[in-house]
Amino acid sequence: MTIFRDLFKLSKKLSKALLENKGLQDLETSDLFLDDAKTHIKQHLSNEAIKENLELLNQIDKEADWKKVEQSISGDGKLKPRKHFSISSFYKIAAAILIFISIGYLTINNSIENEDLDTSTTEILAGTDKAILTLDDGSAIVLDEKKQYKNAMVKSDGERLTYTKANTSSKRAFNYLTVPRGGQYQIALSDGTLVWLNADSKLKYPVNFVEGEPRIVELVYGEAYFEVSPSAEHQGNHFKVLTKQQEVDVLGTIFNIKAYNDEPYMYTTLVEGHITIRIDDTLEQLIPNEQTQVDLRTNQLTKSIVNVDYDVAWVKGYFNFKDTSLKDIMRVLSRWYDVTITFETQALEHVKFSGLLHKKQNIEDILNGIKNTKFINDYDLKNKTITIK
Amino acid sequence: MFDDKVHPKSLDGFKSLFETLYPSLCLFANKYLNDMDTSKDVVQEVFIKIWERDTPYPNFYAIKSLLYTSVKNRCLDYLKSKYHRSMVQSSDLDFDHMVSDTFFYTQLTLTDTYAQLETAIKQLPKKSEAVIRLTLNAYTNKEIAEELSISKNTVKSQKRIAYKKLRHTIGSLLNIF
Repeated sequence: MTIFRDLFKLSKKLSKALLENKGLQDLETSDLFLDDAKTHIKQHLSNEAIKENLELLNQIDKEADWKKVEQSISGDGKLKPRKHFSISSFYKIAAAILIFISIGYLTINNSIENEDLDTSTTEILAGTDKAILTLDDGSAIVLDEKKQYKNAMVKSDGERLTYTKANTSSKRAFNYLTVPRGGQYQIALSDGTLVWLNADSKLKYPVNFVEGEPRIVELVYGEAYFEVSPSAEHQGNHFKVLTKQQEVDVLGTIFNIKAYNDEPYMYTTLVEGHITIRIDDTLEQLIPNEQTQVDLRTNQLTKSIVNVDYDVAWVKGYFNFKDTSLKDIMRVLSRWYDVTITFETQALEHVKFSGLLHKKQNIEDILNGIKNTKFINDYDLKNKTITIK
Repeated sequence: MFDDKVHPKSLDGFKSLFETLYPSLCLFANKYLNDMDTSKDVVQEVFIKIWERDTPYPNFYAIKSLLYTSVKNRCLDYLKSKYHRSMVQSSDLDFDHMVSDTFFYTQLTLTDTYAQLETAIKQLPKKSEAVIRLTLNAYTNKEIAEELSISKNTVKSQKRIAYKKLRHTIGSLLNIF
């Protein structure tokens, strides 16, 4: 089945190259086709062939033909009785995905038309790079996109905080980086480990790691993505991430931890390398694409195989949902847009959607997109509170 | 669990699916049948079958793959049918080629590429759409300017607008599925 995914990916790349008037590099290097087929494809992506095929596409009257299909599926004039509630979630998911795609377009269409408009004060904005740095002496420094900060050990360029390695590391000093709702921030620790912090998250870490000891940081709450500098470069010293419930032991690897206080589960997802998780006295080893889910009430751990793209999309500037309940989607959105979301109809919390959202997208576009699926009747937006009806 | 209120609306979801994929599937079927009217009939039949089958699919890409596969199979069935064989003189060599996966994958890639292009271009404002369509036809800026009775500078600025938007559109398309 994956061949289809690869073929669709290739065709997207080809269409992109054609629009940008670039060569068909992706076809040349693809291992999906032999040379003969590649030549055939190339010939059929000539200007004449494209023109001819786009014209053919445009001649197809999908509205008229839909009427034929609609007539046929709704039976002989009378409405077909609904088959139980099994009316497949597939159409719903399909609809939801299509809507999310069109949201992508919506944003683009709006972006130019809105350029001259002043942003009104009540508008809800997407999150930005911002955080609060708390130094060892308790003083707090506000970091944001427009501000640069520098002291003896650390400097910030507005989106990333970078620590330099000290020559002598006798004193153990801790700093905290707190990312508020509607924020995100990156941090380069003194050992070279990179950490991305999501909205509503807090990390505690030493300004310098003591040589010969494990490197330990603590995710106090929230979500963080780690690219850990390998132990081999630090005299074999392991890297450890503590959360309230678990300890993650790392040799040098990439993973994501999601540990919000207002969620029932904590998730640890391994992208690359190898980690060991300790909860109470249980040890669990993870290999790439594995995810553990820990019930925060019972400390019970379950492990599954996941597509990590969905879990780490936020680091790349997206939210990627797959069969995710509206409740969970709204929880993510509420952190990023710093809004409160309530459901008037409880049943709607469990409707599932799939799709990809840009983090820079306007929240009203997203809500309208969801509304257009007809799964929600309406929404209400007042004083940073959104009510789903 | 869905309550009755949202039920009857699922026809809308099916309609969006149809509207998104129907034209490209017709174009695809036509690569096999070389007859657009029959191609349309085949694709409509496939959509009706899918609706009747009413089984869940995990995601959009699975549905899209299934639709392409079903249309291909129906086209091959049609080509094998006695009716068709009595109507059209076609060599077995052609048919053997069409049965191959290579032909299937090649045509699928081409059709999907055309469809992506069309979708992206349709998103553009009218003026840049016209400019980009002519660009795809290998018109130079000068020729486009003449064709659309606009200045060469306008052509250039419309292209800039288009590329900016297309980068965004295709960029987000690339990240889906």
